Amino acid sequence: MSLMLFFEQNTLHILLEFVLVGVATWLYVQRRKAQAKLAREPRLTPEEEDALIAEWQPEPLTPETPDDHFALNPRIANGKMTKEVVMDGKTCLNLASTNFLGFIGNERIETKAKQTIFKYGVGSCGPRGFYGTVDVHLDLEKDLAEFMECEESALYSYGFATIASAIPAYAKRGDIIFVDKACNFSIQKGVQASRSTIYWFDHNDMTDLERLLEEQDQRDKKNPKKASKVRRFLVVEGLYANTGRICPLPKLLEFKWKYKVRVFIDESFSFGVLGKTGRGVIEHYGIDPIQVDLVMASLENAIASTGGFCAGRSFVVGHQRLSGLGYCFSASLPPLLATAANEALTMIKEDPGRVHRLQDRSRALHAGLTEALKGSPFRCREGEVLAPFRHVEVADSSLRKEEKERMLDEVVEKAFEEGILIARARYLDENEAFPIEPSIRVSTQSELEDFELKRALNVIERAAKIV
Amino acid sequence: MVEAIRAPKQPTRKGNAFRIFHKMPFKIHSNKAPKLEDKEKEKESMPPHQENAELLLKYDPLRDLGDCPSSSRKDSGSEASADFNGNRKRSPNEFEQASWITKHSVYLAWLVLLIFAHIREFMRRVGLESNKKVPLELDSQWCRFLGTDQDGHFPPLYSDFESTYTRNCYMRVKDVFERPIGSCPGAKVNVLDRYSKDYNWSFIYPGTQTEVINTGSYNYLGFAQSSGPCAEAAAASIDVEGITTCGQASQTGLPSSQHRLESLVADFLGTEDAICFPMGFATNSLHCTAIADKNTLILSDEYNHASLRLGSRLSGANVKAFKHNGEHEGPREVFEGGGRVREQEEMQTLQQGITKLIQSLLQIIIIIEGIYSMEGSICDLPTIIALKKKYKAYLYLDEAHSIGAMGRSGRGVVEYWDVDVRDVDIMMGTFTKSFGSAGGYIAGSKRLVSHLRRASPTNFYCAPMSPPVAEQIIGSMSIIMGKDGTNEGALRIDRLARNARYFRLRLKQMGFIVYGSDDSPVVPLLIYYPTHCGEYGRQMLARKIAVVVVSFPATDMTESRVRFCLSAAHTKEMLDEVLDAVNVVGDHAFSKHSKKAHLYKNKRIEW
Repeated sequence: MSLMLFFEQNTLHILLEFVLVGVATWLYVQRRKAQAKLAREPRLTPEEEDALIAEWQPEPLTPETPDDHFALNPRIANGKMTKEVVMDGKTCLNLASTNFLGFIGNERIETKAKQTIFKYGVGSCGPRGFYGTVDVHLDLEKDLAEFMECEESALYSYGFATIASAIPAYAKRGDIIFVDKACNFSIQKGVQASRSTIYWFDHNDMTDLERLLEEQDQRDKKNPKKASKVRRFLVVEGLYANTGRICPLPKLLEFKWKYKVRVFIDESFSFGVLGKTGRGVIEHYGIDPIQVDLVMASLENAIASTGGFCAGRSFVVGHQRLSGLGYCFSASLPPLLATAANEALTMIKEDPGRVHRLQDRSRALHAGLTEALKGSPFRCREGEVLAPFRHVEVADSSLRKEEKERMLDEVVEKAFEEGILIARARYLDENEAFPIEPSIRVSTQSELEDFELKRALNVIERAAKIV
Repeated sequence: MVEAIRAPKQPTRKGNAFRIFHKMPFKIHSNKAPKLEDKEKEKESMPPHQENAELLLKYDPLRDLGDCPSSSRKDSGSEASADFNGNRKRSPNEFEQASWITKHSVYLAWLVLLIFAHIREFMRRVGLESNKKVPLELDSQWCRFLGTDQDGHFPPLYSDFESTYTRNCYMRVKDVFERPIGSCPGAKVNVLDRYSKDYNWSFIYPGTQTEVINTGSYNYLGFAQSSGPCAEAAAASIDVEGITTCGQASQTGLPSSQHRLESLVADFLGTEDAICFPMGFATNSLHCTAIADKNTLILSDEYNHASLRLGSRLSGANVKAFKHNGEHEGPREVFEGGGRVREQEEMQTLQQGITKLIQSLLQIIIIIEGIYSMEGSICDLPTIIALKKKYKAYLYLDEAHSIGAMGRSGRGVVEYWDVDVRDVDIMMGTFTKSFGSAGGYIAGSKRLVSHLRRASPTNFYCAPMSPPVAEQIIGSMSIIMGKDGTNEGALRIDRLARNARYFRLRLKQMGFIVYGSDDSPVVPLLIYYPTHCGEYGRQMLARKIAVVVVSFPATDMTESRVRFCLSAAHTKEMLDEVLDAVNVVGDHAFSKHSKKAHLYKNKRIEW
């Protein structure tokens, strides 16, 4: 009786249970059937397998590279890459290096490096965790953190690896990264390694970024619980190597607080270049460094050494010491390169006039180059006047890419013949996330005299007109 | 038929150790006879050894050196020759396993460790932790910065487990890691004294240094020197070429030192061409992309270095890991990552998978290392090459630790196994270890290297090698090759080989479990308990010896270890000092887990 009552009261519930049991049984039976079917199917005998392997012909490991490819025939530099350089036996004025502050060949830095060799040897023979931390690394980390007005900095042994390792140390699968489309290759590799969801926004286009952030915000509102765990990052460059423009940092920071995204800045080209004392884009805008989560920079440009560093709050940077792959698993920076970088940093601190001189030269380059290219089939890529390098591209954008490249190559070659070294900006076109307009990169440095710049500009003007 | 497709029974490590010991000159007592199929496998794996045996005798390094006492050869050579097919020089890899009691108590140790970590974490949350220096979430700083509480709430920057582990387990032993040095990392090194008042959250450096014996640095051939011809050449190159070039090879040009180095490396290795990079890690992580793509199957050893794993992942290839020290048997094992196949159903799909796979694939690349830096084991190159040839795969050999350190004239495992260098398609290695410098290379056919020059990101986006760094390599490589007109290089290589064998056998005699081959200069001593890492690090330092201790996540959870990297710069006296110290510390910590010590008991081990 009570059983009947029970059934009556829970009819729906009991029915549901029966259905579930039925489904489970059906699935089990299906599975067994499938297994039995698989077992009956003919299998490959070892002979057939061998035949299969014999039939298969693998592709060659790598494609053939033509012998006249530019990468196979790089110019060989004899001697130091100062503003005067001997390239393939020809003395040139160097407007190609990113030696913005003219530290190459500086006697004080070189003496320091030599002293380091005679105290520490050349290599450090170990990763940072296992006796590869030399006291000069600690000194440089401390000085860099002080210079950047941050709590802590972490030193890497290669500029490219700094940026490519720092991003995946924080961003993991399921996280979200907003990246500028003009970001350099190391950032592209970093975000790729993180396996996060990537949203690209148009170069320096804040409306586009806001649109993406707003869309993300809408998605988050639908699932607030999940959203509270998903980290959001915004990765930009201080001074874009590919365009020469600087990022609108105040606007980005506004978004940071509004949409709770963490801001990572790659200052490889702006460190030692922008700002009153060379602290980079943060100083350029006069922003409190604590607002920026992580500054990543290579020491291979203005500092004229090798390696890179990340600076920020200890809470953020300290995490890399156990999870930055390029930090943990790579041998540390050779001590001589660390002391050289530290000496260069000291020289910037002692004499910020070097940075100001560079900024004057950059303005002069900007004005001079724009003037020189008037009436030629080339033009300067629009960019920040304080950028110490300029991209020159073909004005007629309707031309084919090969045609443009040929024209640019010709200018570089003509300039080289007249003793001016400028760089054809080269990219791994097939690997870049977005196509990049071919260009020539003309760089300046703080130690370049006015007459030298004039001479260089004259040569470029002539070369551009002939082409 | 069913028999034929069954996955070859995966030999456990225990099985391997047993089998290897069976080949060893010592008698071991076991109530288990080796299985029939195991014996067959052994037979199958013989031919490469046999082929090489003759050649090997020709290249016996110790025989060439007149000053070698014959007894030391007898010690290893003559006995081993009996059952390793006349192969005098090569010692097999060993992975002796500790008893299950040890293994399980290690898990218990972890459990206790993590329970206390969580208790501490809880106490920190409720404000009972006395060490106020440790902020839980520094993001609170931002709230202060903004003057508002609401805007500070960001999703946590890293996961809870990660930070709990770091704050409460790693921090307690942080003093044995990242220990700074204040001198050249040679046979002896000056360690910076430091102490902490806040449980390793920050260190105070009183400014003094202690000289200790260095078994931590990868200075295999002792070229980490602050004086001598290499250092002088490096310093002199600064005057000629400066410290860097501030530009990319493809855009501004290549420094002539790197140009010279590349041809020297190709000459040294006997390959057609070589390309060099300023960072060893980047050599692997950036160039797998240039070689493999999504139509490639990468078969990667499970213990491959992080850079190789990152590189394979970035390339987008289909990556399968196979078991380290596996038998490298048939296609299934290779194709399906070390026979992780258990169910028949999975086997079936796999079977079809191979058919499909092999039709859709463009190429197969096998990635292995010469010496595994955490295992101390040497790759079985002849077997891998046979396998590679059978399946028409390409072979990527990472000689980071073995180049310079192995082989009669320091040309790495290729010379050690005496195989043809052309059988290895991609020869990769680093300059950090044996050459006392920094950077890496990839060598191989002209076609491969040309392709890399065209497709390497380092050529387009990064600085080339720093001239003094390149010059140090040129110097040390020339010495190894004997280009300086002395036999200095040969002496160093011989010395390293003896140091390695002597040190390893002595450790085994003491009753420690040591992984890897007796020829390998990387000596991992198993201590199992993660809690012993701190103990070993501190106790050894107190005895003026610098050692590396490694634990999870760099190793398996149950296999924490102490690692010694031997060097040609170590003298026998130094090694004896280290051995005496390990002996004492090992007794204190009860780390002598080996059951095979009696085999070495009456052996006279000579340097």
